[in-house]
Amino acid sequence: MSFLAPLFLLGALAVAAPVIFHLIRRTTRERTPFSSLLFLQPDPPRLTQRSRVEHWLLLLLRAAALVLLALAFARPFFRAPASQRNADGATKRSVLLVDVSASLRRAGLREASLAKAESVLAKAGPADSVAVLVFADGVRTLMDFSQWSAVPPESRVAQAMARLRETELTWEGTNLAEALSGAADLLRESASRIPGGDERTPEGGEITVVTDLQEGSRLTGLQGRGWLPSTTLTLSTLTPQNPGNAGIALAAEGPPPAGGGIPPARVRVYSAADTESTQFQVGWASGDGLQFEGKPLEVYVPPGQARVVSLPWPEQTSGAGRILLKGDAESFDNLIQAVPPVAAKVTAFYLGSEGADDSKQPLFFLNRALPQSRQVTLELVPLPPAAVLPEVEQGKSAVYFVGGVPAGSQLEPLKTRLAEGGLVVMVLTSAQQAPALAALAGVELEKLKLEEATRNQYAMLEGIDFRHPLFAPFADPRFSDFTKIRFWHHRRLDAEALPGSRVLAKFDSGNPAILELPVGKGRLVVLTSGWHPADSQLALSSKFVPLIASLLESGGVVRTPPAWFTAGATLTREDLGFPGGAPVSLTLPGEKSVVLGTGTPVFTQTELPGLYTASAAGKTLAFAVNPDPVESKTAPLPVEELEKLGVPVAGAAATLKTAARELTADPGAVETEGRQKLWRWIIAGALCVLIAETLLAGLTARRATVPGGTAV
Amino acid sequence: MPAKPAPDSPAAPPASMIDAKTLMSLGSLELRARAVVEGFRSGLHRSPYHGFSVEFTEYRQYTPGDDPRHLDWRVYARSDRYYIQKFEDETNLRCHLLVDQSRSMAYGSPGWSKAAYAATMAATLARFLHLQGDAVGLLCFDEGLRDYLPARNRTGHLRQLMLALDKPAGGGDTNLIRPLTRTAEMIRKRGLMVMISDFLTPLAELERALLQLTSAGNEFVIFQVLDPAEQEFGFSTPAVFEDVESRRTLFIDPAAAREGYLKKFQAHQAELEGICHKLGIVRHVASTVRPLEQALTEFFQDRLHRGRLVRRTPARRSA
Repeated sequence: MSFLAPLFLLGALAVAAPVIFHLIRRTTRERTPFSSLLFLQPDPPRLTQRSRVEHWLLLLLRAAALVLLALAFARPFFRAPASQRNADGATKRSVLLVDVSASLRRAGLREASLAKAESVLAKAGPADSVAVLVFADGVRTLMDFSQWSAVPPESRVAQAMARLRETELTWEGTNLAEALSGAADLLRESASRIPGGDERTPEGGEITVVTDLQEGSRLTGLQGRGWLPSTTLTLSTLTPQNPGNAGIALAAEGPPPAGGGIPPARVRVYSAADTESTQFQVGWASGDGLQFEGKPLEVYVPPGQARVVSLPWPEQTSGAGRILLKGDAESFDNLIQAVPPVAAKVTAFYLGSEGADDSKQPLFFLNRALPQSRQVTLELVPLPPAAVLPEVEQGKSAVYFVGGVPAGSQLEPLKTRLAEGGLVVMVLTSAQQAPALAALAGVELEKLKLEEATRNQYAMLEGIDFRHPLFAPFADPRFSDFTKIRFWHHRRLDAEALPGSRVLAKFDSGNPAILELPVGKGRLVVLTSGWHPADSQLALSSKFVPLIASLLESGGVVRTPPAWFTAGATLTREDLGFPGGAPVSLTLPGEKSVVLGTGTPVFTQTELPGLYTASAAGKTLAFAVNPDPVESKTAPLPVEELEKLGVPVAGAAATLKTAARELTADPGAVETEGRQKLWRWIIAGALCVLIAETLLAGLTARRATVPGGTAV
Repeated sequence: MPAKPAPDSPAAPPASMIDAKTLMSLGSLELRARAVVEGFRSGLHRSPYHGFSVEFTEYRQYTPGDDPRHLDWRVYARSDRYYIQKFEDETNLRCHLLVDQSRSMAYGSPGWSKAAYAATMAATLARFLHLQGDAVGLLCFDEGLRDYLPARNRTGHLRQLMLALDKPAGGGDTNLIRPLTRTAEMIRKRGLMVMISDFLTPLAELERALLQLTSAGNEFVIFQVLDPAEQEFGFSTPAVFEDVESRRTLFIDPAAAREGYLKKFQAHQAELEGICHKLGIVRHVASTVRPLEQALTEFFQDRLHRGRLVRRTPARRSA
């Protein structure tokens, strides 16, 4: 018989208590008052044989109850031989999660991580099932349960360690939540699949995480996650040789310099909470990435805080540069790639007969509402009906506003642009635009029935579709009030006459106000009222400028890709700046080239930090891939954070340390004990003994009762 | 009339008598005394000794030699005869009750103490005699005299007696000699003296102290109130016995000690009986579980036999 908590057996020493009480009782009996001791002689205490037997029985019963209680608390169980355990299939299933995030690149952590992983694997018994997973931003299985079982027991650890050593550290962040979820899912899925597994196989298992558990670990998604009952998480935390770390990341761009040119790169310098030094240097790196080129900036960053500094681009820039940080011991996050921002060039064509300075016409207001920013350079080109629709330059986007009645010569190229994926905004200022609308929408003119709406009163917008990207920026209740905009005149258009159209907003009369109609690859947006004062108050309202900006953005006209991504990110074609399905050739750091094929929507080979270039159709865009900035947050994450999220961390709380150690020392014993539950029978036995003791004590007391006198 | 029971035997009392348990459950001492007296008196009336009260008279014819001051002139005016008006206290009995209120009297195994029993007994006697018109006095004692009420037969005197008797026992140790000596000094007139105590104390000088009182012409009666546990020592469990007076403790195994105890107890009783016999003192043993009426009837019968009890019907003073 074995015991799960043998220390409780010390409680059996309490057996001495009844004996002691028994002895004490002999000397301190109750006193019997009597009127006079005149006729009595002192008499030495004597016990009769009969009472001695009764008391011995009571003593034995009480001692037995105490011993049984101590035995029950010690949680006894019968340990089955190892061969029998294997035959029973009561195997231990555990998942080993090894951190390979960028923060493991700190000095000594990789070796420590491999050593810890090896020690964890070495503890696995021959009947146990182990899966080895590595994780950074995502989880990757190196060895699953079936692969582990397929390998002979003696070479399992060596094979798993070989796979671990082959796995290189990444530059990605640490997504601990996904890793833990992945491990838990693996345990859940494989519960019925492991060899020898049967109904008695516990559902959960042990998850061991070898990680540096840094502050930057992502825990989102752990809250409210269900865990299998017997799942335990053991954290094998790595301690870095050098405490503290500082890292840099690119921040949002600053304003362009007064004299024009490239806006300076803005660098965010973060210092972890346990960093000792506070003085750092930031500057452009030389070709080898080890020295500064030019004079670096001195930055003071207190521990646990961040500072943003502006770093002007070198005068002779080749279009990309690297920024270096010096002043801390760990260098894995001290060099980042920066790419100067490239502004998107957009041409907006306005097809209408009015002059640009006519303040009563739509063009006047459009000219002032088009957003100009560092990311977008917008150019408005008015096109009178006689003008020819010009070709759009390579690398530029175009948007077409139709405010008047376009000429037939303009209509055909417009239809072509629309079909190719352009955005055309039809502003219906009069019913005469019906033929143009019918031509662009591709419907018959007779069915369109565009006419001036006759109303005595103004109209207002209602039924706005805030889920549409056009109105999504206004979805917040603070901005969603459109009732102050009054529309004096609008045109009545039957939405059913435009098959496939979507009404984004309508007037309170029920007539559509804004419609969207996909035509070919492009989109046709129809406004049934103009924004100029003759038609409405829209242009004069605060909603107009954001509405136009939203129109251009939702139409994909002014989208600019971000200048940098984190390592390991999955990039869509839009992210790369090449929407559509055309092949894109990419150059990776190390002069490696890959081609994003026609059918491939995403680019995933972003493991290495550095400068990437994407080119297609004569257009080349550069983008940078940098280590995940959260990896710079290397201060230790308190285990309590995980416990707060409901993660079943074993042995984390100091108070439970001993118990946890006892229980986790031999999880097989815990399971065996839990199955046998001998303590229940022992407690039942103790109760029976106590009942017998009570009955016997009551009987003895009744027999011993005598008509003893009392002082009244 | 039931047969006279043996003094120490707790024989079943007649059904007409109130048993000790019922009696002692009555809270008020006065009530207890009244209950016993009523039963006792009715018993007397049913008894063959019914006609004694006719002996009683307040007047007698004048005979030469009588003090002419005591002539009742109003009777002479009515009947033209000389009658002597006799004073009550000349004709009536003077009775003093000596009641032990020491701590040993506080012991009681049946649920009431010897002191309560003794107080009830004294109260009953006092009430009975008071109703007869006799003068009753009271002396309560433990180590010395605690309370003293001279023998009187006044309105309210009985009430004062009851109050004095109702005081709880437990003042001090039993000392019979000093109170008896003191009593002999204080009470000069002869009369009946009824002493109620357990007499569980060394009897060395008791004889001399009693002799002082009996030699003065007093008639002395002793009621020895005893608890059944004292008479039989029916304990079975070995225990530490504590003397309620001296607080002395002794470990006693009753099985072994009973024989010696009973032997010594009987010797003590014999010694007491010897003293009483020598001095002509009547001694009654009253177990606290015996009906009080039974003990008192026994007492009165005994006095009847001796021909010294003056029985009278309760009567009021004539105007």
